Amino acid sequence: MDPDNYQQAWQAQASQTRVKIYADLLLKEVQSDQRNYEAEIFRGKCLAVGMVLLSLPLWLYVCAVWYMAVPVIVWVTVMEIVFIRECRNRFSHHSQKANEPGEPLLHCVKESLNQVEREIREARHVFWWVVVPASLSFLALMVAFGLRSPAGVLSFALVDVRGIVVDLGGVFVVLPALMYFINHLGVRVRLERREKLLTLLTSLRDETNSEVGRLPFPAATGTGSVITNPAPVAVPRSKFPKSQGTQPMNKKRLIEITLVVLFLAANIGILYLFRGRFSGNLTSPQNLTFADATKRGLDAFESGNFDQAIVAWDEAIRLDPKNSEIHRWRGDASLNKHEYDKALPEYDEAIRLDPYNGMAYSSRGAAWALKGESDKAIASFDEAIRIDPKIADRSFYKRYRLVAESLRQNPQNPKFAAAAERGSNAFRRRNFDEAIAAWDEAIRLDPNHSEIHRWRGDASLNKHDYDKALSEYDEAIRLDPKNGMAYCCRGAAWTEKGESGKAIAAFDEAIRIDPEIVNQSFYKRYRAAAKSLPSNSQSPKFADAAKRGFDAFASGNFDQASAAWDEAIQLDPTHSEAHRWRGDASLNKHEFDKALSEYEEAIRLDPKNGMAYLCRGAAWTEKGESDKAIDSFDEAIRIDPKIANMPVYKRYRGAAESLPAVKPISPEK
Amino acid sequence: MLDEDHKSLFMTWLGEHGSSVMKVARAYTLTSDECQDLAQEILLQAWRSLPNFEGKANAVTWFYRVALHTAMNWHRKDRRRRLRQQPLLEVQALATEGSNSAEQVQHRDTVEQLYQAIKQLPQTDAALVLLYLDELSYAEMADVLGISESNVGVKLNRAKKSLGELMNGKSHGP
Repeated sequence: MDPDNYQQAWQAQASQTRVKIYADLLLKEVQSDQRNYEAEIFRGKCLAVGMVLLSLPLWLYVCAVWYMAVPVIVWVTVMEIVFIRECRNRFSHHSQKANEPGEPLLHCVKESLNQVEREIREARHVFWWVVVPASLSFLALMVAFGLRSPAGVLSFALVDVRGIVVDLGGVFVVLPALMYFINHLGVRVRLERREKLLTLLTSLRDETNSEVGRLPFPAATGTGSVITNPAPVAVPRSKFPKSQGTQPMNKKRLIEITLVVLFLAANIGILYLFRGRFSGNLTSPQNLTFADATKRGLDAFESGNFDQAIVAWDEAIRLDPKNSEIHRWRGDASLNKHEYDKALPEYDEAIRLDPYNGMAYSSRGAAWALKGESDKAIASFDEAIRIDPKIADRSFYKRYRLVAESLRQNPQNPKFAAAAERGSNAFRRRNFDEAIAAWDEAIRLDPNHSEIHRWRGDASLNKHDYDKALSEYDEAIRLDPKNGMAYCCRGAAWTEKGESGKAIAAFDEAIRIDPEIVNQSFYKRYRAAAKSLPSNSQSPKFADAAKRGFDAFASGNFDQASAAWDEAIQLDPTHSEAHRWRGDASLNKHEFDKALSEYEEAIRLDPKNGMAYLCRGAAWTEKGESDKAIDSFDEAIRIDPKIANMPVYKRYRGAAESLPAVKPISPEK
Repeated sequence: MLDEDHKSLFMTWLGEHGSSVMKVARAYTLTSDECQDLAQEILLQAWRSLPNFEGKANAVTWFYRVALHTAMNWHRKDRRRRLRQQPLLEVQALATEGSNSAEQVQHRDTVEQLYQAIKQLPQTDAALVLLYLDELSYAEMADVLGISESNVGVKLNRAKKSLGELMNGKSHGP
């Protein structure tokens, strides 16, 4: 059919039909469309502004220091700008300036193309506009967290929301990445549109003369509507974007992805560095920081740093003012600082918050007792055991109840209490001379007060006058043999004097009298120091005594050897081997029972002393007790299998099994 | 321009060229639903673009410019709006004398085939063919598309040729 016939048919058909247009509806539609558009833009603006208004106080709250919020504010503002622009782009078909459908098609296509190109450029810049500022602001925030000291002055509102920030951590790692990829999706959509427009533009290209330069974009050869290929898929479709954008874009994209990865890695790294601050129950940030503060307080208390403990518990009480126990603990810290007037209100508060806190009554009793108010103390103690009878078994209770009762029986001279208090205050100021003077007066008023003697000993200890301190402690122990702390302090004095054996013996006695002492930091510190002391066995005196013993032993003078080792053992009573040597001397003197007791002592002091077992076996062999001997030998080689190769072992083991008398062994291996 | 003037002018134009809206819409869409959507969108765009028409072009070319531009940029993005909207326009068949004559049936078939063929043409060629079928002059076509008349000639010839091939291919088909 001739194309003109199509024209005829077309016109004929057109004359057969009529298009009815409902103009009023159209008008209404136009108006509602305009309204919708305006409403949508308004909603968009509200959302953006609302986001800023909502997030600003949050950020200021989270950021602790106002200037830390600045990058966030900048970022949010940029976000807002980007968002509003995005809104405008989305509704660009309403914008008469951007697209003017009344213009010739070629003009419109060029305009649209320009717009799409601009949008692509802007969308790509979103990385620098949004992703980078977001990451930077979060980085700054995390650094602020890192620099902030846990109990620092900047902590005014931060601790509560630290957990929230951890939750945000997840968001801030994900958010920039998400934005970046959404953005890339938008770019891809626009790239497709750009491709279409380029195809259209190519098909409108002037074919009367091949003046390519007239087009703003280089046209590939063989473009245009290809007659042989009636499908609307035109050849240049795939060529334009490739030759124009893909190659340089890939490079840029690589850089962008690298930067994103770097930022994320940095963020995660900082989170990792400060993970300790965020440990615990993340879902309940309140508990997290409360537990943290509580634990810090307990740690400080354990190590005897009562001031630090009070600071930590101050924070804990700020977080949870209704916690009765923390008030009691803070009271205990004050009590340990001898600040009874501060401790008492704490206990009262603890009791007010929890009238069934028996320990608070017990501690209050102790505080009253220490203040010399025996009646109040005993009333408080009675209340404590009424609430919780188990408290009666506690050594703390027992000790202070005793103090209170003895106070009631022998009411203290107020002058004595004043002198004692004056001494305590001076002691706390580390003015030991003044403390000693005050306590001298107290002792003059009550010479039988064991504790004052111990305190005076402590002052001497602090003045490094160990001998005087030791005599004070001896006096304190004489006045009150149950004064565990006096033993403990004596251990400390011996430690200072370098006598680890005597020190450890004193410490053992102290904890035997009062097992609670084990928990005292003073005890722990000195016990550890005593242990780490070079034992007396390394001192020249001990070595000399030991050597004299060996010489005498070698020359067969066992009495002299025994006497020398007595001396050595006096220098270091805990020396297991010295006891064994002395046992060997007794063995050679055929004093088997004495030898056996020495070996037992050696084994008690060092259960891993294989040689002591060997020698005990020898003693039993000598006594004719083959079973006990063989048991002892078995134990010896179990501890140290090398003993089995020793001639002494072989000789005595053989003897034990057949039991003839054998030549005594030498104390040296 | 006053609102009333605006409206009356628009209505006049619609009376004269309203049918071309439907033709363009049909040529650039696949289903009748889409056709309705696009036609309505063209009308809305035409209304909005009216203030920009300052007598620079004549009404026919201006109308085609708007319609083609809208059609080429159109993609169904606003399904929601269409669903709650009554149709703004409908095609009515005029009952004329001998409307079922063999000739008219053949014309109808031809037009059907033409639409099918146009849908397969590249967008620019489709536009040219539509303008040609509506008997616009080369000068008017050049005005609509924004290209030179000689260029219109070259392109239209090629478009007609590919249209013919498509039509013949169709008619020889099963």
